[in-house]
Amino acid sequence: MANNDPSSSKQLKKLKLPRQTPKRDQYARISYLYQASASSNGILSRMYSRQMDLVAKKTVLKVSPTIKRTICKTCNRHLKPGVTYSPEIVNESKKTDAKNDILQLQCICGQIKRFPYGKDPNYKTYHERSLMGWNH
Amino acid sequence: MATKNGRIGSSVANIEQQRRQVLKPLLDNPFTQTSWPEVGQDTLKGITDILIQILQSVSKYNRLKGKNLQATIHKPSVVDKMTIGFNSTTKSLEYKVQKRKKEWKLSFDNCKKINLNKKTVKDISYVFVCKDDIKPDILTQHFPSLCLMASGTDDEIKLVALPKGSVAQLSEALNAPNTTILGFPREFDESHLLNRLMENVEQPKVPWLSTMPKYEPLSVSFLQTTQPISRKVNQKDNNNDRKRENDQSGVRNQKKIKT
Repeated sequence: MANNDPSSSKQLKKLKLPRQTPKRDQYARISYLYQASASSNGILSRMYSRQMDLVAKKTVLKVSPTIKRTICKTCNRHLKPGVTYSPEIVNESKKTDAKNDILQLQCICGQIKRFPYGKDPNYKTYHERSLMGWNH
Repeated sequence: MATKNGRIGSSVANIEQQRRQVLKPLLDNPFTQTSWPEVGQDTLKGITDILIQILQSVSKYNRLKGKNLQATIHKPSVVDKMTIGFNSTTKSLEYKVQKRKKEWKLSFDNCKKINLNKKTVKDISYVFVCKDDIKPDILTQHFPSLCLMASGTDDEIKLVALPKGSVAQLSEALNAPNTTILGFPREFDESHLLNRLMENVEQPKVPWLSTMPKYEPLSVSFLQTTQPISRKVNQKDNNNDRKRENDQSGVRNQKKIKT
């Protein structure tokens, strides 16, 4: 539905940012867990990531795609280039058309994240399009 | 109330379209400060000029290679040592990271290692990326941390983001479309000029990879989006229904207990 996309409709009024972040404690908790997962490694790092995911689900928190893209969906590893994942550009079409370029991030557990960026290089995620501001 | 579709009143289609604007909180990535090293304008220009020169010689060699004139062609020593493109450059860096896993105290778990073909892997020390010309950003995101992890005390790997528009120059020089990512070794025939310029370049900064990372404060961003307006018309009736159901089930349970 066109109504769902705020960037497309021009009649948006500017809403004021709330003074206090709702569920601030929980957000602080998963933020800490994410950083703990990034700076540790091995099974401990995986545990922190898993905890973060579970807390976010249980308390219904929204997490930025930029965070979710750095965690493996299967094994909960924090994805570090060259250590826990390897990026690769793949093109499976016969003519190797640039439209079919796909970025593959393969975790060492075998799980692959695929980003078919060739289809629309200018694509932006919803959160990039409709970001309003920050609360610290 | 007439809508765009010309629907009037409280028809089902109209009700569905009524949405109000809301702000939704969203946890931001605390690691936004992963930064590419800043390089002065003069240095950047010098680097680009040298790269173009090198690429032109490589392109000349590539053109003459197939014509059976091998005795007369001068083969630039870079050809076998450099990497062109995303995959080969990334693979070469990954190989270096794997060699340095003890320095970084990385445990690679019991899982299979990242498969690397040793023939395609080259010993590169300088990475040049046309960062502003590559879309989307996700293609270049991994380079700062990868370069930092691949470099050790004896072998620093340096990363340079070339100025916007340099894709056209590089592609023309190499005579190949979309030349965006290049990896160069530290030592080859005409390397002294490049080495001198690269001394000015710092290493990329990735704070969360340091041994004692600092806790970044919480940052929550807000998205503007819409949400359907919930209607509370039938709430009373629903509540009554629920009450009735509960009473009945209670009665039923009591009966069961009695029997």
